[in-house]
Amino acid sequence: MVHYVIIGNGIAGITAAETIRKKDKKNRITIITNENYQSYFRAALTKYLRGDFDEENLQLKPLKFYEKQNIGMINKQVTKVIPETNQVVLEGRGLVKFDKLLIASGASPVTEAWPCGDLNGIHVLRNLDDAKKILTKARVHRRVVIVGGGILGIQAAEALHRLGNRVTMLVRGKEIGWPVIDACVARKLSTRMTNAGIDIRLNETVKEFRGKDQSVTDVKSTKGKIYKTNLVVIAIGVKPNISFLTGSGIGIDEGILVNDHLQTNHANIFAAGDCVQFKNPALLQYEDRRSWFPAAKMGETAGQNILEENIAFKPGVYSSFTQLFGIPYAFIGNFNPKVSLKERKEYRLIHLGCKTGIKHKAIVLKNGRIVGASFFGERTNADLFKKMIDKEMNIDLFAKRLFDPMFDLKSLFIEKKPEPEETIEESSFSSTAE
Amino acid sequence: MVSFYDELKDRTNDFLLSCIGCGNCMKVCPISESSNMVIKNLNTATSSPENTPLPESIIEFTHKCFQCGLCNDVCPTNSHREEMMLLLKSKLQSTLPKEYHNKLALKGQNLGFVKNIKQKFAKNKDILGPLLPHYEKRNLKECDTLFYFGCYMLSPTEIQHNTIIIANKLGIDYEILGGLKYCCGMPHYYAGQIDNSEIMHIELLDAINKVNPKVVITSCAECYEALKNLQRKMGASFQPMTTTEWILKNINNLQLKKLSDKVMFHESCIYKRKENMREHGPEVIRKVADLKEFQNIKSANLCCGNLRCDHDPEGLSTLHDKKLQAAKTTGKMCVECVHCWENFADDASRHGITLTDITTLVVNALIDKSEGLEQPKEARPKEIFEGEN
Ligand SMILES: Cc1cc2nc3c(=O)[nH]c(=O)nc-3n(C[C@H](O)[C@H](O)[C@H](O)COP(=O)(O)OP(=O)(O)OC[C@H]3O[C@@H](n4cnc5c(N)ncnc54)[C@H](O)[C@@H]3O)c2cc1C
Ligand code: SF4
Repeated sequence: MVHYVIIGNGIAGITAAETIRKKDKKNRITIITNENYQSYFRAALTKYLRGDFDEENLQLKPLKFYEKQNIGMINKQVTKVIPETNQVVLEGRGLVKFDKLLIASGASPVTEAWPCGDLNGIHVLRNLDDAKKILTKARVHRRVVIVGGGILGIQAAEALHRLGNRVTMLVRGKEIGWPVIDACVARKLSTRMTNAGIDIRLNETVKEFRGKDQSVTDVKSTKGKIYKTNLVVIAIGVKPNISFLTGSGIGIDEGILVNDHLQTNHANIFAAGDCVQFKNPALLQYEDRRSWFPAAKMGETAGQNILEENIAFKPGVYSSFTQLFGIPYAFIGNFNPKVSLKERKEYRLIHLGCKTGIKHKAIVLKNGRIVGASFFGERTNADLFKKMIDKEMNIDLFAKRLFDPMFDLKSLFIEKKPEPEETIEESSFSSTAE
Repeated sequence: MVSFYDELKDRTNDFLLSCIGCGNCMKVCPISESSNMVIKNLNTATSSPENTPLPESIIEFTHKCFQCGLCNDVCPTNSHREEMMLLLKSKLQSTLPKEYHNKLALKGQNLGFVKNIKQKFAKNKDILGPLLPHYEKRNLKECDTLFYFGCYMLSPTEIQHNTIIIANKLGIDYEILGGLKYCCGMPHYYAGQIDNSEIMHIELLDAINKVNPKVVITSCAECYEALKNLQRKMGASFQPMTTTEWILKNINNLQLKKLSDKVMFHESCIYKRKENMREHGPEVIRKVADLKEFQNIKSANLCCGNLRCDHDPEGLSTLHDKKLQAAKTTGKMCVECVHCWENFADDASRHGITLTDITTLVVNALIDKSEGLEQPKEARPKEIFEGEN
């Protein structure tokens, strides 16, 4: 009997297990995880922090799912992988022998070596245990400092604010959400958050923490300001969980190095989800922006490849669909390209609604071809824009018409292209070259 | 071409993977059973193989779902729960309630003997009036403009009659295709009979090809989607158009006056969410009447529930009540799709709301009230339908 072993019970690991089980009913599947829970919707943890979302709703699978699917479970930390002997070493004692291995160990929050960073009340947010601790404190303390202005920071701020806390957000950059929130949206969102009572501090981060009786009491910022608080949530990014692979001979760098088939340098060892690093430069975007759907899709692809179906992970450009402060948001492709000054003139940014109202739409063109888009407030057809961007469609002649509500976007995917006649009112756009 | 079913399966597979379990979709779902739905169970049911035994609550919820798409408006990850529900419905065909079967069985070309007889009775002279000669007509002429009335030819016929009045006013030549036999297949698609629907699409294309039209115009959102499918997936070369869009294109050739009517506009969920065509209706209304917005977004977005095929009519009435209550601001609600009209009709009259549609407003607004402008049933059918050969 073949033994498939999967490290990690996150969305990548469980999706791989399910994919394998759908096609291979008889061989053995074992998931090893260091978390003491059934798999859960990690990305809904921010929702859980609002306090009105009970734990049962977080569960990813029904009770008895693992038994029914005949998937074995070991709740232990993996300390080592030995490719030569096809073995996984568990903490304490214990070896698990595998024929094929999937590493889906996810990522962990990064922190910095701030003075007194180990005081009670300073938390990261990655797993259910973190969320439970934060929620318990947030229910009594009522003052929170969030360090980091990325999407996770924004969502955590929103949740804790809704729970009735006074929230201060320290953001290192000059805008929130950079580089996955476009500048217009960042400004609109900041205004909304500020109006709601969230104190956003741009260009400012932690210098040191101060505390009393081992518990945090203040945050001193790089601008010298003191913020009184008993609860700090650090959300400044994540790094892949790969320390247990050091010296194993499995290729790692920042993450586990994989080819387009999610295979490591060992033919029977695969990796998927937040822990991977791609050798293919076209997939670089996926490393900066580790998120749910890519992790799930990688899990599925890895599962297929473990069954030797030979499928490449080809998700197209990165896209993120989410909600920010209750407002739908979509960010697609290379929206904020890192380019040199010389290259800049090749790019054109067209946006609608930057100055007024909530809604905002924008697209980025490179030499007439669409390479990125961002939607805030309304994102009907955003998936069609993703399709256009995947194809790098040349839209130079009718770029502005794309925002015309009467324009039939789906017609672009039929052989015949629309003629570049009548454009809609130029004045309703502000168009700038980036 | 990828089959309709495979396409749906691939899309929903990715939706399932992108769902982060936030539960927003069930919070806004207008169907009362939604409050008992837990995402993990719903997702597992959706991804399970056909014929997996599922809890009764999930089966009932699935058959009550009319895929209005409100859920996707609030989904952070754009995971289209309504399409996941459709996939689930297609897997639950063996439990499909009889109301669905009753409604679907009469439509399409390949009907058994008994159904054929039943269908003969469905062809009602009184309803069709002057449209009778066009009902399931076989000898179709070649023509640039085709009005596709599909199976809604038997619905309340005001919309069809008005369309013809407008066409005559414009003096264009046209052909008409309609009748239960020429059903587009979308009702079957949305009931989960995906393969069947695909076959009906092919049969429809054969019929349309006899006319070889440049544009095909319809007042039904489902038919419109089917026409779009023919164009997008099956290589049809005609331009599908909604009646509203067609009117808008020709509006400068119609001499219209502004009516004093204050109307609220009920959007078709298919035009709005699937086809991104939300602007045409309001634009035409603004030209001929006074358009008033629904105050409460939540009730404004409630859909007519057509895709449920008459299953649980009481439940639907309760939902209609909410929408119609909100329409009391002006007492007049304008629809764009024949099915919205059909579904709201009874409840609207119960609430004292006047139901109207775009074509009625336009016909009422025609300045020249001579030939062919009277209300359809009293109109002189012969002339209306002679067109300009
Ligand atoms: C609060 C929060 C909100 C988020 N919101 C969103 C969002 O809105 N949209 C979005 O797209 N993404 C969001 N994300 C990101 C998303 O959740 C992750 O990208 C995704 O869960 C990654 O899945 P994974 O399976 O790769 O890794 P993980 O879910 O991290 O799973 C890895 C598992 O492996 C276990 N493990 C690691 N090392 C070992 C070891 N040595 N031995 C045994 N077990 C081990 C871990 O404990 C964990 O259970 C959010 C993340 C968080 C934390
Ligand atoms: S709203 Fe979307 S992400 Fe949330 S549970 Fe429903 S389908 Fe999943």
